Formats: sequence, C-alpha cells, structure tokens
Amino acid sequence: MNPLSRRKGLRLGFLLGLLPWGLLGATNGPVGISPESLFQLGNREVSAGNYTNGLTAYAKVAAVPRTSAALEYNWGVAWSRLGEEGRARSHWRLAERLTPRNPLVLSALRRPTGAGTTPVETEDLLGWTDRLTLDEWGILALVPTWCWGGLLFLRRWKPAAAAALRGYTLGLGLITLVALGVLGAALARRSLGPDALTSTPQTPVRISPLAEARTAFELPAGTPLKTRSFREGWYLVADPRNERAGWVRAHHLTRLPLR
Amino acid sequence: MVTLILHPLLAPFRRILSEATLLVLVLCAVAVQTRAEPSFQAELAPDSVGAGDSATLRLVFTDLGDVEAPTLPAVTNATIRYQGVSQQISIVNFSRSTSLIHQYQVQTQNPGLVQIPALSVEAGGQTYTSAPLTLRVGQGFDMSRIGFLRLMAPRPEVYVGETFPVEIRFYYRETPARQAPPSLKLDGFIKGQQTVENLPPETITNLLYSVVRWNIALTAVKAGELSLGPAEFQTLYVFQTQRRSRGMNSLFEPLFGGGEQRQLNFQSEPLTLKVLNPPSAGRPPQFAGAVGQFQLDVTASPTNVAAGDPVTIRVDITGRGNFDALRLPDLPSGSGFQLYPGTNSFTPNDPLGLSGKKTFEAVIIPESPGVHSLKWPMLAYWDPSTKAYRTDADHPLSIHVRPGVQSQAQPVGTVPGPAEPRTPPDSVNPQLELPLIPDLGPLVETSPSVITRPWFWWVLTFPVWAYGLAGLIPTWKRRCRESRQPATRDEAERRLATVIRSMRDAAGSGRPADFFLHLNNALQERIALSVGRPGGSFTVDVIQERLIPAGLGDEEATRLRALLERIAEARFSPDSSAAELSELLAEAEFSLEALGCMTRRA
Repeated sequence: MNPLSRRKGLRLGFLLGLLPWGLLGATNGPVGISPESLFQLGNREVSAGNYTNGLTAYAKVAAVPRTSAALEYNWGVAWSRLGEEGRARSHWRLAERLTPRNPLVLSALRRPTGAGTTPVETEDLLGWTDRLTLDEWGILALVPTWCWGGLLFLRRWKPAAAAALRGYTLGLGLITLVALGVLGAALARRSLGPDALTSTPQTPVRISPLAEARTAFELPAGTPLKTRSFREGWYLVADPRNERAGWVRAHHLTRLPLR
Repeated sequence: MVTLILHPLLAPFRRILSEATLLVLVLCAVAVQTRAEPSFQAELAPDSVGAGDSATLRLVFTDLGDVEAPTLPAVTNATIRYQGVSQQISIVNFSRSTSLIHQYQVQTQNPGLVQIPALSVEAGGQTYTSAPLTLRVGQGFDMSRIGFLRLMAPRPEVYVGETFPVEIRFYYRETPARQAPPSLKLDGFIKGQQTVENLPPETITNLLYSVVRWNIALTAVKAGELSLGPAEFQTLYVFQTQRRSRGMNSLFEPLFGGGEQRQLNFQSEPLTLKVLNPPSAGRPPQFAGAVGQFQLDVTASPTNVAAGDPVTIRVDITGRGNFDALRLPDLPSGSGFQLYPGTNSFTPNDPLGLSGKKTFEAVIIPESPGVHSLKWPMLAYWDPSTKAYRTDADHPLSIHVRPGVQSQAQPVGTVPGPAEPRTPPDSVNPQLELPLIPDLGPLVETSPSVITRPWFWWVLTFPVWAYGLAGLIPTWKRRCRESRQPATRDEAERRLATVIRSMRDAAGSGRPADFFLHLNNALQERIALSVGRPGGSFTVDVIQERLIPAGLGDEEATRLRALLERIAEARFSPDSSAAELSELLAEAEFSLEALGCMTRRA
C-alpha cells in the first residue's frame, strides 16, 4: 500500500473517531466555534484595539461555563486597556486563584494603577500561602502524612528496626504537623478572608436587599469583600478593611472559588 | 301464530288459519283506533308527608290535545313549583288514549294540611274541573336522631383585637354521604385559620355519637354584645328505603346508590360574646392594639460601624395572641439613627396561628459617631389573662459608631445595569501595557478545592487513624478472649464433674474399660484447666514441662505420673480387680484435687 494513502486513511479514521466527541462538545458551547477559536479571536480583537469585541469573545468562551487562567488574565487585560482597572483586577484575582505563580498574573496584580480607581490591597502575615493553590497545599500535606504513617507501621511490623527509625519518625512527624498546620492556615485564610470582588465601577451597596433601598456607600470595582449571606439575588457583604456591610446585587460581584 | 300456521299437522287448514289471523289483526287495528273520552284530573302522590318534605302533583289531560300548564293558585303551608311536562300513550281494552301530564313539586312547610283546590281548564270549548286534593303534613323528619351541631367559645368575654379559638362540633350517629364545610355567621369578628379533626366518640343521653371538630381562629374587631353564629353545616344523607324494589331496578340500586337522598342542614345555637375595649386607664403610649402575651428579643449586627453604615436590627416577638396587630414602632425622635423598615415574617407554632414567632428585620443608620445606647423597640400589649397592660423591652443596644467616610448617595431605585464597555481612554501607558497570553490552556470549572471535600480529610488522615486502630486491635482481641474465658472455664468444670461422676460409677460397677476411659478424660480436662490451654492429649511430659513450673508438688507429681503411666498400660491390659479400681479411684481423686488446688492458687 502506498504510504501516503495509508497516512490519509489513518487521518480520516482519526477524524471520524473524533466526530462523536465533537458533536458532544458542540452541545456545550457556541455552535460551530470552539473555545480555543473564540479565545484566539478575542486575542486578535484586543491586539487590534477592538477591546469591546475582544470582551465579547472572551465572555463567549466563559459561557461553557469553564474558565482558564489565560482567559481570565487576557480578559483582565482587555478591561485594563479600556481603563476599567477594577474590573481587570477582579479577573486577575480569579486567574491568580487558578495559577498563583504565573508571573504575568502576578505582575498584572502588582501593576501600579491610578489612585482612587482601585482599592489598596495590603499583604498580611499569611499572604505567602497564596503562592500555592489549596490543592497543592493538600498534596504537600498528604505526602508526609502518608510517609509518616508508613514509618509508624514499619516500626510496629519490625520492632527490631524501631530504634533505627526513631529519628526519621520524629523528623517526619514534625514535618507532617507543619504541613498540616500550613494547610489549615491556607484554608482558614481563604475561608475567612474575602471571597468576592466587586466587578462594576461604583458598585452600590444598599441597606437592604431591595432595588428601592437607599445606597449606603459605593465601592470601586475590584474591591475584595466577604460575603455573609445570600437572599434572592442579593449578597450581604462586608468590607474587611472597615467592617462596613450592606447588600449588593449578585451580578455586581465576582465570586472567588475556594481554591 | 305463525308457528301454529306452519305446523305440518295443520297443513290442510293452513289457508283457513291464515285468513282468520288476518281478520283478527284487522279487528285489533280498528279497535285500537277507537278513542277514549277526554278528561282532566289532578293526582297527588304521596298524600301524606313529613314537614319539610315534598310531594308530587300531576295534572293529567287525557285526549285534550296540547294544553298549556295552568297557573296554580297559592296555597297555604306549601309552595308549588312547576317541574315539567310529559306525554303518555296507553291502550286499554282496545281503547287508545294520549295523556299530557304537567308535573309540580309541592314543598311543605309545617305540620298540618295542604289544601289544593279544584282546578278548571278550558279545552276544546269545554271546561274540565279536577277534584280538590288534600295533603297531610306530619311532624316530618327528626334530625336530632341523626346528629346535632354545637358552637363553643372558650369564654364569654373577649377584648377587641384579641384572637381566640372557637369550636364547631358535629355530633352524629350516621355518617353523611356528602358534606360541605360548616359556615359561621360573623358580625364584628374576622375569621382566621381553620382546622378540622376527629374526636373520640362521646356518649350523650345514653347514645353514642361520633364527633368531628372544627377549630376556627377569630379576632374581635369591635366592642359590644356581639352575636356569634349560628353555625350551619350542610349534609347529604342517603337512607335505605323500606320498600324493596323489584325487577331490574333492584339490580342497579347498588350501582347507582339506591335509597332516599335527603339534604339535612344542621344548625347550632348562636352565642353571645361580650367584646370589651382594653381600658384607657393605664394605657402605655406605645400601645398599638396588640392583645396577648408576648416576649421580645432584639439583636443588632454589626455593632461597630462607621457613621452612615447600616446596622441590621432583628426583632423576634414570640408568644400567643394577635400577631397581625404587631407593628414595628418608629424610632424615638433624637435617637441618632434613621430607621429603614425591612421585612417581617411569621412562623406559627400551632395550626391556627395563635402562637408563634414574628420576626422584623430593619436597618438603622447611625447619623453621628460615638457610642450609642438604643433602647428600642418597646412592645406594649394588653394581657387578657391578667387584664393588665404590659410592656416588654430587651436590654439596650450598644452600638459603637466610628467617624465614617462621606458616601455619595445614589438616587433611590437606580440600579446599575450589566457592564457596559466604555471607550478606551486616550492615555494608556505603553510601558505598562500587559502582553496577552496566546494559549487558552485547560478549561477548568471554578469549583472549590478538593480539600473542602470530606473524603479528602479521610484520605489525608488515613495512616494516623489506621495506625491507631492497629494498636487497638491486640487490646481488643485480648479483652474478647478474657471475656470469653470464664464461660469456657465454667463449661470445662461442668464437663469435668460429669466425667468424674461417670468414673466413680464405672469403678463402683466394676467396668475397668469405662473407668480408665473416664479417668483419662478427667485428667486431660483437669490438666488443660491447670495449664490454661484447650483440652488436648497431654502426656507424662506435661508434668515436667508445665505443671511442676506452675507449682505442682513433688509427691503430687510422682503420683500423677504413676497414674498416667497406669492409664497408658490399661490400653493394652484394661482388666483390673475391684480392689485395684478402688485404689486407682482414690489416687485419681487425690491427683485431681491436687491439680485443682494448683489451678485455684494460680
């Protein structure tokens, strides 16, 4: 058989095999356009200066509803080029939760902005735990815990080796405790800290969950907030910096996943 | 007839018979064409009914053509309603007649007589007159035999604004086929929730009644001597008639509910309630019409705010009474706060909603910094049980207010819509412009981390608790064994006693083979108990290895060894004299006792 025709046949078979998966995927996203194509389209529009079109394309990618760090970062860049630094930061924060060590995301978040347009964020004592995701901290705690457990079983199984393993057991036990402590600290920091960001400029915070209610104060886009409760499309939020609380409509907020 | 004509025996007469048959048919036809005399008569059925029952009046016009339904004169003690017309054709003695029947319902009222006068109608130029009729009306149906209705209130005196339950009880001896919910005539009361339940049967005047009760919550809204009721309860009963129907009707009666249907409306006696206004003397200024017994609980969150920030106030009022009349009072003037009323909800504790918890949520906004003590709200209500006004207030709220930033108020009702992209600003610093990431990367769901799932923590800590369990298993096994040991030991002791008895019997009756068998079993059992191991086949070696270290004396060991060797010899020569058996029995009992003492010492 001609190698060329054989290669063509293999390619055709591969494409036919992918057809059902393609049909399945088409039910989840915009018909006919893959998320990757939409993402590239958004990049082209943003590069060409058509930020609005770029934002529309990015929003279509996120309608899956899934997201990626690159999508959130580029989405933030588009908002940033439109001058919406607050909205940009809310996307970058989401990207940071997904890939906390991405240098582009980190540089975007550390980028100086105009005073008054975005809230000032301060680093706290446990800020270094943000360098890893909770999943990564979990694995870092899981490995020494299992190794330590293995050593303990080994000492029980081979009592003669207990004395030789004593130092390793103590050392690994200490490492396990530290790892579990760091995991707990990272979880506590994310659970107790801000879990949402305002996504619209001058987000109104109202005194009750009613559209007619008086606005108590306004927050710039990208302000980190702690949600306390949810009622019929409204979040009761508190600003951790000054404990001011009020009600914000859900579509004014970007929820940060506990990751 | 046709069969008769076609019969073979009558073949010769077939022609004659055919002609005769034809003649008979012609005569019948001619005779039927003969008409009866026109007439008009009135019929009443039945002629005797009970008060409230109805009878049927039929005006029968025979061979008078189409006669309009006559208008009947008014009669006393009954009302007559026209029901309809029907036609009937009858042939009697070759006389055919056509009757037009107008039917009326005579609804009686009171016991006595109903006189229906003679009726005259004009037809065909002649006047026809019916005979007068009399309907006897008896005492009627005794509803008290079926059941009765009672209306009850908890007390004869209530207060305006007070919510209280009333009961409607239906006592019945026969279950109605259908029923409608009872109605209650109300004037000066507002009806609330209603429940229904079956009560245990009650015996009244030696008759057993089933009881169903409706509870209704009422709220008095005006003062005075107010009449409550009567309550009415409409039912439909089906009574089996005494007359047995015949023919086809009796077949269909079970299917279509044969029997007499009777609509019975039960009515209770009305009640008179004295409704009072709460007195004006001693009325607190905060009183707003609440009647009942209430408790107040107030919480505020947050209690440390900046001036202008909202504080959510939650007011819980629990108790019993008219919760509809409870309102959140206004803030006292000069309190330093602005009140923005929010939502309220009520959670009933009983089906009628007489008791429960009402919750108000409101927002207050401090106007100035400082530590504010707010004693609000104060609840004033009239307690009908103690007949006194009461006021309830929670401990004062202490709210620390910091100086706040001035926020620009947004006009009420304006809600920012979805994000609207704006035009790019003119000055974008190109040095700070961020590059785009070219690859989308893997799309992931923004779901919480796996460490928030319970299974992760089970997996994470598995080595720790598995190690702990592994350490506990030997202890658990030892405890199980120790708890089982006494039962095993008791069972072995019982078995040993049985074997010793058999051994003595065998020695006494001179059966050496049995004696040695039981002796061996007894010693093996006793040794097993002494060394703490399950029964097995112990040899002489066990004396040196286990029993002497366990405390068996030298003499006892020597005698036990001799006994075991004798048992071994007996396998080959079991024959022994009675004297020898007696001597061996004594030796065996000595050794068994020695082993037993050793076990007890251990």
